[in-house]
Amino acid sequence: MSKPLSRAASAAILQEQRQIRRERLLSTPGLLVGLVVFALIVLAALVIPAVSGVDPNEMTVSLRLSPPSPEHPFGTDEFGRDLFTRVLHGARVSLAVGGSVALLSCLLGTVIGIYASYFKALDQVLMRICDGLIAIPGILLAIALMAALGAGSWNVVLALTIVYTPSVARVVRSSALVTKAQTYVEAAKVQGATNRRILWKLILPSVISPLTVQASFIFAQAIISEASLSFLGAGIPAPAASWGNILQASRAVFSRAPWTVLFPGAAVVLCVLSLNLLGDGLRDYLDPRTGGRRKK
Amino acid sequence: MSTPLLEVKDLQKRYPIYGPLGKLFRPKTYMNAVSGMSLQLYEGETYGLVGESGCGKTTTGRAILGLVKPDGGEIWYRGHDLTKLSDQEFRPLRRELQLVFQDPLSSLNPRQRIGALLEEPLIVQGMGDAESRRAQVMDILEKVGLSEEHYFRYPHELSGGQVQRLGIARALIIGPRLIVCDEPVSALDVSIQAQILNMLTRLQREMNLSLLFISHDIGVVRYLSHRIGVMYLGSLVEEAATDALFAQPLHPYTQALFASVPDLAKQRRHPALEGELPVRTDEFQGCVFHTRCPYATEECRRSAPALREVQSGHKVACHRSSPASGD
Repeated sequence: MSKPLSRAASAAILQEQRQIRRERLLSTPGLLVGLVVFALIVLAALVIPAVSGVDPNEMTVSLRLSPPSPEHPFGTDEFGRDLFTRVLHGARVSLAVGGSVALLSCLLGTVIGIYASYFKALDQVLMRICDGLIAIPGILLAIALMAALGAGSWNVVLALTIVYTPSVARVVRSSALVTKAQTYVEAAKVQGATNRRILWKLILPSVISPLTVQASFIFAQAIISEASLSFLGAGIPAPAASWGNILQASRAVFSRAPWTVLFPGAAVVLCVLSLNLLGDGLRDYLDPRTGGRRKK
Repeated sequence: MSTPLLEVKDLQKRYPIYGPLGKLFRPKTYMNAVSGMSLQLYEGETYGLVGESGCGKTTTGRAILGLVKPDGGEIWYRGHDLTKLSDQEFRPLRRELQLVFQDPLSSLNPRQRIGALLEEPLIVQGMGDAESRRAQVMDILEKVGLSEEHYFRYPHELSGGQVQRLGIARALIIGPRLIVCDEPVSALDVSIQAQILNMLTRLQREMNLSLLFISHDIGVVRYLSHRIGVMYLGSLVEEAATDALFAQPLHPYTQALFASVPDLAKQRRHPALEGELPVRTDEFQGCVFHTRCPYATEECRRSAPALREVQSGHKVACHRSSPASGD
């Protein structure tokens, strides 16, 4: 009865699989919009400051607090610095900090959460440590860590990663526990799958969707936390621009120069929104039951 | 008879019952889900295991596959005691021992297409290269009455009967010798049940499989099995060849079980069973069935009868049927 497939036939099967994947990607517009907007922000932050050559710290005191104009699209701040350039430079810092924190805490949290869900002895140890860290208010913990580590952007990343990892671990553990009890995990055991294969092939994919939502949330939270730390003098040291720094500085002048709040604020909102769209779209894309049905 | 392919000896599985303060203190007592369970399964045979829900038949099946760690007893399969094997030692044997689940859809990874799903056991067991695995998948799809067009479908896109065909295909693809079927048709429509059962018997002949068929549906078990074991409260109360058992059920529980099958033509001779399944704690004494048995005597309440052979191949655990009488 067995009829071996020809090389052409199996190539056709693989071709079809790629085609299906492409179609599903196009059927989740949120993912594409989020991806495009976020990519534009990242691109702008990387390219424009490098090309324009405007120094973000150059002061033109005579032009302080001037409203948006062709030379200064976002206006200037209280020292006469070009706000457009500063927002873009700030984007570099904020995105780097937020992205690193989201990435590191998700990596760490996923490993902790998955292992805790699967091995009972580890669960007790790891989760009690996480409980302890969660018990301390996040921003206080971050301030304490910054005081111990000293100011600097990498220390901000480190401190915020420690703050956010336990919550990721919890989210991952809880959804991993649900998956672990599924019959198909038992079926994999019956087939003789190793623990490692079950953890990374069956449990990890089921964790991805809550994880992406959590990642975009942490990205946004980290940007805000970084701003709070900067405000308290425990974050990115002064003349360097970050969205938090700029917003903080504009608090004193925003009634006279609302653009100093408007543009960096809009940048934060746009960034967070695109990240949320991205996370939502990714969840739909990764779950065949929501993605596939819409096509039919 | 020859040596059995699978032999379960005095299997024991108990779960702790805690007092009002939960796990802070030692368990108050234990609930014996399976206790003193023994059965033999021969090559090429279908052994039907029947009993009401909660009697331990599923636990027995799961213990055979190492999904439940038994608290006592032995499970012998081709010279290996499965209860003593580590995960690593068990792995090669899993090619020969497979399980078909009661709820087929939840036993299939919803994120995998059917092709990948069926290939998975082969990958896990390190069998064949990508090309030959794909050919094997196509082959098994055809064998269980699915076709190539299902290759790229997800399990949730199939009908109930098709999904169970897929569940059976997944168990069959690595060429097992023994399959434990845990209520494989109880979630299906009656018309589909017949199809699946016919397919199972056909595949059993073609592939020389031995089946341990667990079900609460006596009709299904009768249709399929060569021998039947009746389980009650964690152990076997009667075991016989299918025809012998239906011709002359000896244990009062078996009689009650048969009598409770809805039948329009016949009047009920026995009253339907009353009461609930008791909990078999460590303090439980006597025959497992004495709380509901219409013939229970003082002796039944005191001592548990052993499973004895009263006729050739017909075993029963009841004080009322003595081996001497031989009727």
